Amino acid sequence: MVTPMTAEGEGEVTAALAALNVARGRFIAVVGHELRTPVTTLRGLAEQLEGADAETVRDLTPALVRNARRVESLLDDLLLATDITTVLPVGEPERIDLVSTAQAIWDAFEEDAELVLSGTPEADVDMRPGAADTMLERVLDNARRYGRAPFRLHADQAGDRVRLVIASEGPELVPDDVHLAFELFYRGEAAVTSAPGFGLGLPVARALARQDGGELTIEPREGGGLDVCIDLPAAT
Amino acid sequence: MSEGRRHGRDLRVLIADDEPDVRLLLRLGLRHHQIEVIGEAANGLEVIEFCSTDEPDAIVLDLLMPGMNGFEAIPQLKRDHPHVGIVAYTAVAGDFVRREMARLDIPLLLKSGDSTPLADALHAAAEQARASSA
Repeated sequence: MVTPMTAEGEGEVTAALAALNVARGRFIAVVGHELRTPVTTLRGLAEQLEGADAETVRDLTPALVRNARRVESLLDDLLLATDITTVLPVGEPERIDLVSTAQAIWDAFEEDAELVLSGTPEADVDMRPGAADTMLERVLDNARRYGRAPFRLHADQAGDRVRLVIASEGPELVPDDVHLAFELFYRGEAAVTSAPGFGLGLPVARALARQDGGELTIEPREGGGLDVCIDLPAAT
Repeated sequence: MSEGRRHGRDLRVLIADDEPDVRLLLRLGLRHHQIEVIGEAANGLEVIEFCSTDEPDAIVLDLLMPGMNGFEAIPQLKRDHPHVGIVAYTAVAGDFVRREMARLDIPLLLKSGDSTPLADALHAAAEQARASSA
């Protein structure tokens, strides 16, 4: 027997469809934007190879590799952040020091500002190969893109838990930015007009932390900026 | 392949995009279209600084850049450098972008691996800017 839908039920369906439509529009806009640049660049660079001299080929090759890697990375982020587990790191967890790993990632960015360390000098956890690097890279990259110096990393170990806080100064966050930071494809107003990105950095980092028994949360700093807190089981 | 020859003299162009590989592609692609790339900028501030010392005929202007984006740079460029043609060059353009560029009277092109439409737009924008400020 089919029960007729009430007016209240119809309203709920309409609201759900409207929300779905907004999410779909956001998805298409962000994915389209982020993939179009490396894909069109790849096409253009590949076409330049035709008849290119040796010097031009030397210039083009690393650019082709960079853009192909970017497409690959964007696709992995997309799958990972949307709970598609096929690209989660595999293999047995291995011991890794989050502090020295974070420092190495920061050094590779070649930022003028340093990463100021405090707390325990080592923070060993067990994570699957590559997971810690990707998780920290996303959080630190987020900090340098949308925050400003000083950039700080504080590590603590209490009992069987390790806690990392990555802090950056920056504009005071509007409530939407805080509430929606883990909403897929949501990008704060400042981010949308200044830098490319899927808006998946923090969701990806959180998915990786959770995979190995951890959690990732954010707290706005008083006066502006953001603390990203990572809590993980200490290495056994 | 474009008919670069159909245009008049070589055009002096500034490329503004925060992606180095996009700048590389434009530098290589535009050289076949009677265009001399005289400089590169990674944001709106660098564009304005460049124009204050060496005014190009036209600018390829990405809209989404850190620091000062293209939307912010355009009014200042139009005021201080009215005879410089500007072509907005962006990966995607929603309604807001299309409306804004129409309001500012700036030609808008979607990024593409083919540099011909961009080259044509740059020549046209430079010619229009020259004519309107003569």
